[in-house]
Amino acid sequence: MSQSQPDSRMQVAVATIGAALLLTVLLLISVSSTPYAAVRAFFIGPFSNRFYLGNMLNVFSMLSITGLGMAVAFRAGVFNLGGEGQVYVSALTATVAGIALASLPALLGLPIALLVGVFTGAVIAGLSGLFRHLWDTDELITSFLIASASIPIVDYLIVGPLNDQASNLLTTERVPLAFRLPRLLAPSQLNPTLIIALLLLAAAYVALFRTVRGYEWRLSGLNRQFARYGGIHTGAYIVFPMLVSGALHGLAGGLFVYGTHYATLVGFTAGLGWNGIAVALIAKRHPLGVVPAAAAFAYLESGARIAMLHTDFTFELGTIIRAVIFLFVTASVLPKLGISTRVGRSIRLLFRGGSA
Amino acid sequence: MIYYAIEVMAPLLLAGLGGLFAELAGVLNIALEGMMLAGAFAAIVTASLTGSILAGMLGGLLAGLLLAYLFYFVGIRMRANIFIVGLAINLLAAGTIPFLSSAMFGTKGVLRLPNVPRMPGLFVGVETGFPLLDQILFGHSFGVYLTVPAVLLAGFVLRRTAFGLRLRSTGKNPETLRAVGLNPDRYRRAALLISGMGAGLAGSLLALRLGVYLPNVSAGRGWIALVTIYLGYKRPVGVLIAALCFALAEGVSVAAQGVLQIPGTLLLSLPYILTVVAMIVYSAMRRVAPSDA
Amino acid sequence: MELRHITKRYLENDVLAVRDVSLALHAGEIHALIGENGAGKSTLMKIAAGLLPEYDGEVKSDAGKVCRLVQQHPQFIPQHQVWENLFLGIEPRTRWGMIDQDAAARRFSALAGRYAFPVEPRMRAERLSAAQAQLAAILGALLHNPDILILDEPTAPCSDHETALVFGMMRDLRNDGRAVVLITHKLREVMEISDRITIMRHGRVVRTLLTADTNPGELSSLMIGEDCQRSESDRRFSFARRDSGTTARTPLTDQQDPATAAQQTSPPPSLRAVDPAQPVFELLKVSLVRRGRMLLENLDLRLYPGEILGITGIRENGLEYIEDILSGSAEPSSGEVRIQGNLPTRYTPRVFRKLGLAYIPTDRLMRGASLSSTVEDNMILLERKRFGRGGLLNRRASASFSAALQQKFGITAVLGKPMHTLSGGNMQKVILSRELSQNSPVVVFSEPSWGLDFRSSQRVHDEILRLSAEGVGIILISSDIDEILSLADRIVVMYKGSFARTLHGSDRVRDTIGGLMLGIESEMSLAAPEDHNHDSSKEPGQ
Repeated sequence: MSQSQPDSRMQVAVATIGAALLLTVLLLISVSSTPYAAVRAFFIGPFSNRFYLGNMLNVFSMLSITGLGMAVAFRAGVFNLGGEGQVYVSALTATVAGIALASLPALLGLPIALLVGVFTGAVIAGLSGLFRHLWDTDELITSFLIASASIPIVDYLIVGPLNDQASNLLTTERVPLAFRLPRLLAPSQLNPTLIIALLLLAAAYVALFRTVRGYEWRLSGLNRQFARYGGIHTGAYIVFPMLVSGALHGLAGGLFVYGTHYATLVGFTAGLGWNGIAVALIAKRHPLGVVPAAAAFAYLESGARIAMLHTDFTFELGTIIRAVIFLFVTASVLPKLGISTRVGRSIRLLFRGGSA
Repeated sequence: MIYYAIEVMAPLLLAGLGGLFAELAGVLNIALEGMMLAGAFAAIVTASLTGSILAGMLGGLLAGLLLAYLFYFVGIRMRANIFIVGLAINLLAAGTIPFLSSAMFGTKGVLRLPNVPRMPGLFVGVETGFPLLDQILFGHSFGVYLTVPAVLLAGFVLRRTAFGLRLRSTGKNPETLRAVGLNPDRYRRAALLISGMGAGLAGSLLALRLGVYLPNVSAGRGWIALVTIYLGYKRPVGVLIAALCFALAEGVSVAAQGVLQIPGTLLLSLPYILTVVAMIVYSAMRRVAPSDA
Repeated sequence: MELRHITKRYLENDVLAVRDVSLALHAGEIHALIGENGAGKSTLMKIAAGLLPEYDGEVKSDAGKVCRLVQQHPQFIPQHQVWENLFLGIEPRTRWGMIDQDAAARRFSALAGRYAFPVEPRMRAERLSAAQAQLAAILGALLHNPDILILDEPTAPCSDHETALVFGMMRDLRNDGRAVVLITHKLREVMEISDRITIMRHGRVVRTLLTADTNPGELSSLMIGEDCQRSESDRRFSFARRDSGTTARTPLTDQQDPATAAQQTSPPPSLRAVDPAQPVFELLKVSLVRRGRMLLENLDLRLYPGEILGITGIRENGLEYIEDILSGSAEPSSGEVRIQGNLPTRYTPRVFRKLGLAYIPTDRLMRGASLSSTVEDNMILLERKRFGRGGLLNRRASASFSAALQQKFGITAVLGKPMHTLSGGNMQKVILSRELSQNSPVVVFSEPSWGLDFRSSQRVHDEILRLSAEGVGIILISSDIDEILSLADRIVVMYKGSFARTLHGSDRVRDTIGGLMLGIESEMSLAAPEDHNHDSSKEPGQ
């Protein structure tokens, strides 16, 4: 679209977000029997006390890591559609490793457990990259399929062999007490994952934009033919970005266990991977853009949860609002910023020209 | 098992064929899942209200159409990011259906409504003396017999008509349409609406066969339908074969569940694993011939 | 048709492309529109054809008159068949919206037959050569039965033969009382075909004159403006000097005993120390087969330091494949490539570059540049490792490196802006600056002046001559005979995937090359190498 002045861009962005919020309010008022309380809980709830604020920040940290995992893959022109499954499987392997290593000191055992998670995610996603490199199999489809195949297996393991007999929940045993990350804003779930996430974002920014490898990485994503012509080993920049993307999802899975839930529960990822894709796209595939994108997501999700707890607001309503805001934001803000068209084109290119 | 596979294949194929139109027009419709779900819900509700299977199918079709139009409006007209729009529509379906369900019928769970007729079977009891052939051909629910004409029709429209040529050209390079004074958005819209109808109809088949609406009755089939498009190399017959493969894999896993005592959840992953293996074998075999990459 | 006071400003880059231009086109004339790159010719004609909606001024034409523009790079859908591309939007139909394929085939064949355009309707568009694609695009425009036909650089990818076909078609339309506009850089063509000429510069019309009243010298000075340093006659002079210099200097031919060449042991790939008797680049019995088709057959070639070896031919005769072989983009099915005596370990551009090859590709937009990256990022591609400090990219060093290249090559661009904001000439300069910064002993140029205006291509040619004087071995792939003739010491003509003949010194005659390109002379000239002029009178367009 046209490259208009920054002022008018801001105006459009503000207007869109305003319209989306207005619509949300209208929706809340029209369906809720306690409209005032619902609106209040939805919008102000996340900031109303330490508990909610901390939980929101925790959601933010998780989404930052998965969103970054997607963004780095997009930057190299590869597509990881299996994030959801990668987080889930890695959470389980990290849990199992932690329980098995319970006798080790935490300073040794926890990093190993997390590394197991990282490794699991990297292998699952890396396979898709390798298949693409070796046989030109579309990594987008295989990553989705492999992840989809692994989710029922994890479900089975949690319910079956790895089930915590002591609990009547669908969960594994809990990880050793010493391995659990400390809570930062008790009683909320906030934990050092936030710091790790922010460090990762900064590191990814430097790696992508300030290093030679990052230059090659981005160039492979922008024009693979040109990169190959310039002597860049483009095959490596299919496999490696998938490995890194998977590793970040694996780390997210491990941290989700050791920071938030202390165990792997059936279906506990609840869209972490999927929302990571949306975060990465809204962030313009930029590590620093992930911060506002993940923050917006975390806010909406937390608002919905709180409204659900305190009023007759239902979880579905939160989903609907999220969908509507999705549509609004992507429809009017992104094109003005020149984001959607480019990403849209590159996605379509990926699909069509995957083998070219 | 074969009989079951054919039954499973029908909705997958309809959604896949619809998605094929969108894909060929250059619009990746990842909202097939949400459209199927909406189709399933709408089909049960309309069937209950009217007492007619056909009306139920029409209701499902219209629900898919409605979401497809929304997809078109936001994604194409407003030039939004197709991927995000698709995710949003899936979310919208996932949120709206339980919301409506609880508002209208007081439950978010299994929706068992009165007055929903059974999906009639066709050629029930016809026998040729070859049990395998009988399983493939006869006694299926009504919707299954829609699929063969649908494949032929899709092939005909895409290959032989001016509309099909323009639609395919839109996906390959919309500039070529503009250069001859045609509006690519018209063909994108048509393609999306067709994909919405396909997915909606597919959803209605899923639900009407059961006679009830189950939450998440589509169970990832919208995504699998998307995969059949690629596995079928973007050709109607290819989609048919890919859908059949998925359906057989599901049939095998259901059968194995009974015979081998393997837990059901574990077998849910079998179709995906088989697909990956099939894809790799196929790609690797293509690679044997000297490539020009 | 009449254009009145047309002004067009591109909003994206705020360029005033056309300023207050008025132009009248008459029925029954061939009107040439000439000017340097960026003079506004293409923009003006897009407005005339109704392809650019927003402009100031007025386009006046009689109701019902059809105006079609054939763009410089025809956009076909590669996977679709030729007829599917051409009949898009005007499909002949039967019932049910079905396409009447027979009717389409008939109309197509009638039209292609009339002008003897060698285009097969059922062929997939991706298999068309550049020249065939151009001819097909012209046919596509003719299917709309235009009253005004605008051709933007139609002969750029064409050999003399195809150019003659295009000209024949243009004359036919003129005699039929239609208007034809020809946008071109080639003054020779303008003089040959046009009735009237309009010269544009910096978005304005400089003058419109009758072809009969002018000459190439006047046209080129009008095109370039008073500030130009080189006129057409200067150019001829410099080429003449060049010619005499090379004949005196190069005793090297590839008639050398092949056995001695084969015995040479591989010297270390030193980029500086060149032995003038050692070939820097060799093809030994190279063949390329794809999908059962023999694309290149048994090619032998030896390039010596300081030599400019020209490879020419009509596009579908293997020029694009030899480009891929020479650059390491494709692996030969048999035979081998040696760079400075070394066999590449793998056939990838990466390995070829390591062995000392630089390469300026035909496809500048996809292969030669990353359009959405900055100019600087395009420049540092080959030197990226040098700017790494412990893995970190030293942006200050890379910026000063790019700025130095920019100054050296006179590139008009903002280094931090994306590559796609550059004009064609500047883009090619960026590519040149990057490739030549390597001081590689072998440089492959493929169609280096395609689509460039006179001054830009002059700049490229100067660069080629300078490199050669420094002892760099140069392979120049070009379908432009004039370019090859003026630069190359030795000329290899390709015909159907083989080298038809190698020409040296006085053999390098335009007619001979033209004949070889068409395969007319290959056998005959082998039998009687002295006598090569008699049947070149068949060659049209001379």
